[in-house]
Amino acid sequence: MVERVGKLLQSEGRRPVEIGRLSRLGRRDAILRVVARQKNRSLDLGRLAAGMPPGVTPAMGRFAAEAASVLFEHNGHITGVGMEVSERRTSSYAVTWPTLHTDAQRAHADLPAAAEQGAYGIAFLLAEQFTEFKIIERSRKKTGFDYYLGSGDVYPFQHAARMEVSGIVNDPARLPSRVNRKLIQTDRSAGALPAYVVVVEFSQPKSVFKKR
Amino acid sequence: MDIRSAHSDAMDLAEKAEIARARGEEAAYRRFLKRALAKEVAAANLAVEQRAPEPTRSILLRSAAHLAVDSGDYRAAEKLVSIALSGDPPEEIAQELRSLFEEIGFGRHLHLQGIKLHPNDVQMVLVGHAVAPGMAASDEFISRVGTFQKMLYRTSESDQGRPYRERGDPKQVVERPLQLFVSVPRAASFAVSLKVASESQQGEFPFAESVRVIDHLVDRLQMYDREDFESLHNAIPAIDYFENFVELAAELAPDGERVRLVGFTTLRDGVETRFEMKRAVRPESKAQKFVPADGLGQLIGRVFFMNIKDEENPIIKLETEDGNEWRLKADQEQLQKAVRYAATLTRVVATGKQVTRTTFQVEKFRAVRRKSKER
Repeated sequence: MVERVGKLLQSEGRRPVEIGRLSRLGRRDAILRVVARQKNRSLDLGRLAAGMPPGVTPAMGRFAAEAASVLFEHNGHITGVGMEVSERRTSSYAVTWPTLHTDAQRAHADLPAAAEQGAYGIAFLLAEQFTEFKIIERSRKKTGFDYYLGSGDVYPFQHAARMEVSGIVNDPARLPSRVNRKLIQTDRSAGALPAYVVVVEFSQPKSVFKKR
Repeated sequence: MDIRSAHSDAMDLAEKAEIARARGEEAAYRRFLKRALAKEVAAANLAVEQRAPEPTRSILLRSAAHLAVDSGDYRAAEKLVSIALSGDPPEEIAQELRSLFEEIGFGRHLHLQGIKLHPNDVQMVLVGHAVAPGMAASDEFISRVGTFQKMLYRTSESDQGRPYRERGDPKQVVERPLQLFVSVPRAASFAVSLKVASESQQGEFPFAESVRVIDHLVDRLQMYDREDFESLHNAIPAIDYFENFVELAAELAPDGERVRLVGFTTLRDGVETRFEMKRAVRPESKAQKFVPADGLGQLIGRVFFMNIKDEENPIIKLETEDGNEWRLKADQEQLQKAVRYAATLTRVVATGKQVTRTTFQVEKFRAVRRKSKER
């Protein structure tokens, strides 16, 4: 693994001797990126701006991708950062994004709000990887939108699953409790619609993707 | 036009409205919202006419009702929720529709609707399980009126630069101009007018102490509600007053179940100002938000508790020399060190970063060497 991390750093124009100088988080990131590259697993935020997956509008996709990118860069990450994803089992993904517009930081100055928006972007891409649903459906709710994973039925929301998404700016320790809180929230309405809970932490990039 | 395309157009417009709002473009936000409402109402009407199956029918009606509330069209929202509930929505959607119905009543009653307020009056509106039209559980109502009165006194004392009062009543000079009078409740959600004056029935000049204190208090409650603790601290620099304010505001705020919404309406320079406290009381909100430090820090003490039953989430606790307990997070390598140190009761230095008020992410452990005995 150390050798592969060395090669990765070399491919990025950095000398292999730097491995030893990397912090614990730096080593974690490099290892996650090597594994993601080996398995060819990546999440390209640029796809959101192109209106993918179906149902995501380019305007919304661009906004969410930009918010996620601002959050990653705010936490000192560069495009290609490794992200641990816990679904049924844990795997690693390389997250890439296009160069940020100069106004992006200003547009997403409210970081907790940006974390929520950015988490939706990541959640849509993960839903595409982990579920059979074909389309993202939206409905209006008080604080913005309710998102559902839909089947493309002639009636929206038929055979759909609700998405409960949350983002954390910079506090890895809060991830488990946030997941539990979201699971409890969706559990209040158990018995009706299926639901997925997605929580994204941006400082030591990690996502949890759970079905209720 | 079919249901799917009408709904899709509506959501595209609603998204544009949200983006306009995030960019501070209020006029564009209102414009897009109005068009989104018209499209979503069309989609919902089609769903009703075509007897679309659940949950499609109720979700579309609920979505249209939310857009109507955002547009300030409470009557349209009321109709849409009623139609949705008259069908057979899934229980989770039905619950959300009932909550929305309460919020619509709340929104309508925050508007004064013929009630005349003076600059020294505040209308308080409550919504929740403990509230029926014109009735409210007495403890929920009385405690909030009491808290509001305390906040008036504290705001005045803090603004006058008086030393923080640990106990007892305020001085007469503070108390006299800020007496609180309560009107007869109105059959809204639960709405009353609170008059702050030196004597009952007295209107006050805009420069009166009561008017000034109400203005400051409402400003600060809004800062609290949007968690802008920096501005709140600037407004209340003395730490005793600041902490007291945060504690009292948490008592006033909705508790999430029995009282879900608390709203205030005041009159400022002749203009009606409405403010809705939405934040449920949480213990952590009683204190200033924790801001993680940038650099590394150190803790010196002993690892006194370990539970590694859950390998993903082990519990390791360290007691520092000043008696504080910290939960430590660490990787496998450091975790093994912690086990050794716990077993031998070794004093350790943990280097890392404080990630929450009580959690420390350890980068490195090392044992504290004993000093050689002095000769």
